Parts: sequence; C-alpha cells; structure tokens
Amino acid sequence: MPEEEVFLQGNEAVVEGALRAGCRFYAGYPICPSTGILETMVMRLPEVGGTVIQMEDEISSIAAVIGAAWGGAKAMTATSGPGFSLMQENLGYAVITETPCVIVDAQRSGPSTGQPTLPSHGDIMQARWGTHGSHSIIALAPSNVQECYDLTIEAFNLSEKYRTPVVLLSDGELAHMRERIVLKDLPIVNREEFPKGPVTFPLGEELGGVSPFPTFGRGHRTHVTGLTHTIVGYPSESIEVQTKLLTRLIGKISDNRKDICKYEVHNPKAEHLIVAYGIPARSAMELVTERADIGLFQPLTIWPFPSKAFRRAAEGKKSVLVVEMNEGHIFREVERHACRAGVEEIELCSKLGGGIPAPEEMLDCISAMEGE
Amino acid sequence: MVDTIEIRLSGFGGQGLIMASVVLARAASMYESKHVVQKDDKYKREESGLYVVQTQTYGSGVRGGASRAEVKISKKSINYPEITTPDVLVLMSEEAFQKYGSETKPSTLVLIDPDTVAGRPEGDYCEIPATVTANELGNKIVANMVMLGAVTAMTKVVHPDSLKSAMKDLLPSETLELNFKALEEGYDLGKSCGFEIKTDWG
Repeated sequence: MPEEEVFLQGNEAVVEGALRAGCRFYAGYPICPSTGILETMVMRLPEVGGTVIQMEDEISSIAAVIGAAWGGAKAMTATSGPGFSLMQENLGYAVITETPCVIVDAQRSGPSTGQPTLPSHGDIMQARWGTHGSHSIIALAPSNVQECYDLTIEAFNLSEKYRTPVVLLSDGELAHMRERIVLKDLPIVNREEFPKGPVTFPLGEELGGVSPFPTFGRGHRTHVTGLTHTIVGYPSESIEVQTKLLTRLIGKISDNRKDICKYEVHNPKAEHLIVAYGIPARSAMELVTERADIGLFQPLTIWPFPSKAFRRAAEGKKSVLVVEMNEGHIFREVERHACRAGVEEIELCSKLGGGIPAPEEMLDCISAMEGE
Repeated sequence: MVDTIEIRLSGFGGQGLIMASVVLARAASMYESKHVVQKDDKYKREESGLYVVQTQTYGSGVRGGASRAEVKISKKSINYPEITTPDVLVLMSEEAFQKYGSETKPSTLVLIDPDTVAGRPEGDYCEIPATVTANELGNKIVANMVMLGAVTAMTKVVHPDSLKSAMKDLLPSETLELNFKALEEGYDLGKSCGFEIKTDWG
C-alpha cells in the first residue's frame, strides 16, 4: 500500500492504523473521549467492506468483538474510563479463550464519571489487573498521533501472533490532538489458521505456547469456553489442567518480552533518568533536548513491562524519576527494577486532576529530589 | 522574531472556534511547505515545512458550553503539546475573558470580539467585531473565519491561500464563498489594528 502524509486527530489515526492492520469489524458504544473512533469507523470501515455496530453498551461491544474474531475477522472496540471497567469481565474471557482482538481505552480522569474528556492515565493498572484471575496482558501506550497509528497496527499484530487481547492505552489529550503523520506501510501479521483435514490438537507448549486458530465455520469441531479447559477444549476441574493452562497463557506473553516490548531511550549517558509513557514522555523530551544530564526511558509497551531493557537503562544512574498522570501505577514496577539496578534515589512525580504535566513541573520534581 | 507561535482561541461551543483552529493547523501543517523550499524526498519535507500541534477542550454540554482550542506552530519539532502563555489570544465570550484574559505576557496579541465580551484586559488589545461583521455578511456562523483572518493578518503565520486550501478540505462546498469572504474581511480588520508578531517564517 502507498504511504500517505495526512493531518489527523489521535482517534482518527487509531482508525487508520486499524484499517491498515486489516480490521474489518468494530463494535462500540459512544463515550468521550473515545467517541471519535466510533464516528470515524462508521465512515471508514464500510468503505473497505467492514462492519460497524453500535451496541447497547460496552459489555456487549466487547462480546461482539470476541464473536467476530471467532468468525475470522480482525476486530476492535474502543471506550473510555467507565466503559473500560464494564469490559473487564469479557477481557478475561478473551484471555482464556485466546481470542485475538484489540481494545482501545482513551483514558479519562476518574474514578466513575470523573472529568469526561479530560485526560488521565488512571487505567494503567486496570489494564493489567482489571479482569479477575491470574493472567498476562499486552498493553501499549502511544505519546503522539503517529504512535496512535503505529501502535494500533502493532496491537493487531501482537494480538494475531499471540492469540490474545491487546489494550491500546490512549488518553483524552491524545484522542483529540491533531498532528501531521505518515500512514506508513508497516508489516502486517495474520493469525495462523488451524490446518484443514482431520482435527488434531497440538499442544500449545510445543508451539511456543500459541496454537493455530480454529475459525468458526471452517470445519473444525471447536469448543470455546471461559471454563478451565483441556487442550481439546473440554471443561476440567483438574489442578494439573489449570496449572498447565495458566502457565502457558501467562508464559506465552511473559516469556516473549524480548519480542513484545518496545521502548525508547534518549540521552542514555545522562546521570538522571526520567521514566514516562504517553503524553508526559513528550514533556520529558523538552527537558531531554535542553539538558544533557537528563535522560528518558519511554516504554511504548507498558505490559509486560520491559524490565530487562529498563534495568540496562537505569544502571549507574544517580536518580530515577517516574512521571505519571496517576498516583503511581508503574512506579512500583520501576522502583523494584531500579533498586535491583542499584539506583538509590527513586521518586514519583504524580500529576492528578485531568491535566498533563508541563516540563516545568518535572523540573520542580527534580529540584525537590536534589534538595532532599 | 519567534521560532514558535502559540495561539489560543476561546469562546463558547457553537462559535466554530475548534473548526477555526483546525483550519489554521491544517493550513500550516499540510499547505505551508509549498511556500518554502520543497524537497524531493517527502520525509525531508518536515525540515522545510512547519511542525504543528492542535489541541482542544470542550464541556460536555457542547453548544453554549466553554470551548477552547490551541494551535502551536514551530520551525522545530514540538514536544510538549500545550500552551502556557499564548502569543495570540482570541476571546469570544465573557467566560473566556474571565478565565484566560489575564494569562498573557506583555507581547501577547489579544483579540476581542466586542459583542461577546464585556470586560477588557489591562494591557493592549485589539477589538475585532467578528460577530457583527459575520452578521453583515449574512450569517453570524462565519464569525470564526473573520477572527481567523484577523489572526493571520497580524501574524503572517500562514499564507491566506493555505487557509483557503484547508477550508476546501474541511467545509461544505456551498459555504466556501461566504467563508472566504469572512476570512478576507477579517484579514482587513486585522491589518488595520496595527499590532503584529514576527515569526521566523512569516
């Protein structure tokens, strides 16, 4: 496909990324600031032969997406704050049924209704642990409109490769922001289809933890269930079966960090390191371009956390400052890895209230650290 | 001379300030590079063109609620997307004046629509009768373009032809003639104000 230069809103860039990735089904319920994704999908998806459904709520939206994925489509939904809470149960259903799908959360300031349309990063831990039970999840966080496009494609690619739901954590600021971007011709990954012919059930363990996908209606006898199931899909109460299943589901993500995790490091030799993702990473870049003593570690993949890469970046640093638009969701993750890397000073620079941290506010946090 | 210009448009929902900001941002982002050296490689265009970020906030009520749009235009790549103290401040409601009227620096160009704002700032300002002018042209809905014309005249931040190209992309074709007229009227009003900001590229 030819590359094109366009001027788009973050929400629109997510849609363009989804279409390039091959998304042909979208179900959603309007909620600001994610509504622009639904609106743009309504206009764009039918043009490429896809289907858009406005469902009665967010629970049914993600349910429709899971169904469409089993029907063979690349499928997506998008929501904000309260809607993401409603999706949590079915997010777990997608995890245990190993359904490839993408869920976009344009985060807004909460809890509950909170500040509709104002940005926050209060759902970072909800993306990780919002659904019940032991599991792994993949979550990505863009910081500009170009990354909204790039990481939506990446979200689809990872969901197809690992047969898992992937969460894209945008926010109210990014959703409504416009920038010029390039609609790049990026590589597209498609799920491996279960082979035709006599039904055999290869063990996930033998295939790096990921089994081929037995699409509905293509002659496979398949049982899709949220119950703990054996490799042939039948429910089981066995401790051994559950242990094997969870070990494989968690392992297929946690053991593949090297392939899954994307991050950026700026000013690697600086003595102070800022850790920031999403919009705050842009504020941090203002400082990084002006001061040689400040570096930046920006995880594009939030979950699984790029722990090895971060430890390498943190080694020998005088201090690590974690800047987040919440009360410190990845702070503890960073803290334990920074501790292991031998960093003594690790602080949180927290911005609540529905705004984004200005570079000056980060400098204040750095001064406060130095003053102690 | 500034290498980055920060423009804040504030008023109430329904005045089209977000649309005005999108027209300006799109013009600067997509059409302005024609007026500087065009390079063959499209990725090099970034170097010759302008970097632009447009942001917006609005209340849940939409029409009648507070509305704010911001455009940041620079020769350098833009990291932090928001505006702290604007170089250009457009005020089109009393609420906007109360909220943003004092968030200025001595060099800030303040443009006020006298029909929608009662208060006046302590420093210099320029009255642009956008609503009245738009009404005279036949529809007050184009007051946003009158204001945009005035901003352009005072900053030369984009060529008026770039604005017109962006308007063709974004506005219904049957409204273009009226919107172009509003832009030109606003341009003349802005010129007669006597204030200006010089940018690196203007």
